[in-house]
Amino acid sequence: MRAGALICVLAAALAAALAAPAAAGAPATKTPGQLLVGLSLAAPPFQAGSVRGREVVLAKGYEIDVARALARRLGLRRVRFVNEPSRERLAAAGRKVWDVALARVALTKARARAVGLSEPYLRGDQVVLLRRGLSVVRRLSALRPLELCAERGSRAADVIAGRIRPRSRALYFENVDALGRALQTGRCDAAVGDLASVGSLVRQNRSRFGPVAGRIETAVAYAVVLEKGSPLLAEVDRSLRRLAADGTLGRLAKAWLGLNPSRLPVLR
Amino acid sequence: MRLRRAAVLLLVAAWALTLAPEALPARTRELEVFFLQDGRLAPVQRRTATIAGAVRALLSGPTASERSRGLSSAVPKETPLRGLAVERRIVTVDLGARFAAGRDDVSLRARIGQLVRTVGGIPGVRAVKILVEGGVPVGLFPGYDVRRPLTPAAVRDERGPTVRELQQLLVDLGFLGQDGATGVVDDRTAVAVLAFQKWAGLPRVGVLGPPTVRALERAIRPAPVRLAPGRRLEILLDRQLALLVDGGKVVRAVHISSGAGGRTPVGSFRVYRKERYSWSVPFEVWMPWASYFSGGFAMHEYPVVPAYPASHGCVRVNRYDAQVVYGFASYGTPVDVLPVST
Repeated sequence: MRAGALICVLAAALAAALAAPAAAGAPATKTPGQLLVGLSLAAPPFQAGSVRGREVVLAKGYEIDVARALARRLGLRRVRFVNEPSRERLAAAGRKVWDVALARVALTKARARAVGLSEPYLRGDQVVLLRRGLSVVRRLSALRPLELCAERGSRAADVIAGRIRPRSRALYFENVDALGRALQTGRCDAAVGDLASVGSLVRQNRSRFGPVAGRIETAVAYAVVLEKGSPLLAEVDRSLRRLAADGTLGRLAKAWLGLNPSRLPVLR
Repeated sequence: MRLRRAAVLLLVAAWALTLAPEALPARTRELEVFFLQDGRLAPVQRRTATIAGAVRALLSGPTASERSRGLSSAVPKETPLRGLAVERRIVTVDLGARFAAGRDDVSLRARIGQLVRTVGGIPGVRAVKILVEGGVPVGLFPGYDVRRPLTPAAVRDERGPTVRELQQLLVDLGFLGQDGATGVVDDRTAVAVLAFQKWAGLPRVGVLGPPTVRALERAIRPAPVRLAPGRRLEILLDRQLALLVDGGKVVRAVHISSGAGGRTPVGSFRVYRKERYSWSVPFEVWMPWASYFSGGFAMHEYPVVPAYPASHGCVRVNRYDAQVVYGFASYGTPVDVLPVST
């Protein structure tokens, strides 16, 4: 009996020893050696996937690759994704089944009181794309005489009204396709939109537009969500800083969103 | 009674046979499999009598001879078929991860089109439910909500822009009025297309053929020949177009026909007389929406506006835009009649 118990203890120790190298030096996660990532799918190109129950069996997109790069930087070998249909619940207070979540959750003080929020991995700056035939502008004041356009209901409207203050009324369009068409045909001189919207125009129809003038900084920034008080937060912050410094975040943004924000000049 | 029951049983049996993934009625020996040709969905015949056979043929891609004829497939090579099931005439196709590989939205949409048109077009099939790696795709195929079964009717035609989209392009470029995007190719559209063809230097036929569509998709709004402030009109004799310019931007480009044999005077003028209905004494004809800019020469509506100079010297304006030109040109509005517009 005693020998049997000893064997069991030894077997358990051996199993733990075998499992340990995968997570050696890695931070404590819900499952050792694995980063469990919460998502809120149906937001390409940020994240998309194939879902069985809550398990995401196939995942792709900018935030998916950011999560994978983060796991590598944290020293975790495995990454698993779970889908949270409600984005609000993802950033609400309470216990979480996942270690981290990425779903374009913007940093706000109210959210920071409910959950742990990392340093931003992407800024919600507005990007200015010019029509063909216009030369590059590098100052906000140079945008004022131009006819501007943007997607209706987007954050661009606030930036146009509050920061650019154009001389003529800006035009607003129902979707990014209509916006692209207006810019292509010269109905407006410059389109203002978030990185993904302008990036999608640039990625698919580069020759139909002029140069990207640059980005206008905003207070919006997207952060990784963690459980409130998670000991993982400091490690995540450190890893994100490194991923930004070595150009990984910029490369992933260029690949998935069409533009590398760190390469765009800031318009002031 | 027995006979009726037997008939019902026979019908049910035939229906079940139709929907079995591996078997279809014997009369169906060939099924259509959809590939791509010039970006459009193009059917080819395959000798198979089963749904599974059709899906496998789709995943195998076009044959060498079909490829040499320009057929291709957006479905990645060696995409595995993980499973196939039929329930209530809805076919569930479970494919490997390769089916969703890549970042090209056009290619991802085309795959859905190929699969749904191939399977959904099989007699007896009501809709197609797509799974990837056994899971429900969410956001993997931009433009399609694949969480629900799709019918062939839901497949977006990748043949390029629709008539309404092309009309909207003509509106955005200034060749067509805002209310001209009707979705139907009408006479007004033909007039706008003609104006665009004149500007783009294309054959003046007024038809939305492939060269015109290609040019439209890349076109930018016409620019005025002269840089001057305020509201002005430019009559481009070489292009047979009138440009309505406001603040240095062309707000409308209008199909016109000027004087045959160079009878329209060239120079800078101003609108000095406007008449809702003007009567031409020498030619004894009504000229609606007339804006006179030099002597007896006016811009006015005329029922016949060919693609070449045909008038006695006036600027004929097509009936869809005559009122627009009349409303734009006030007393004193500058009118530049330019022989060359480049």
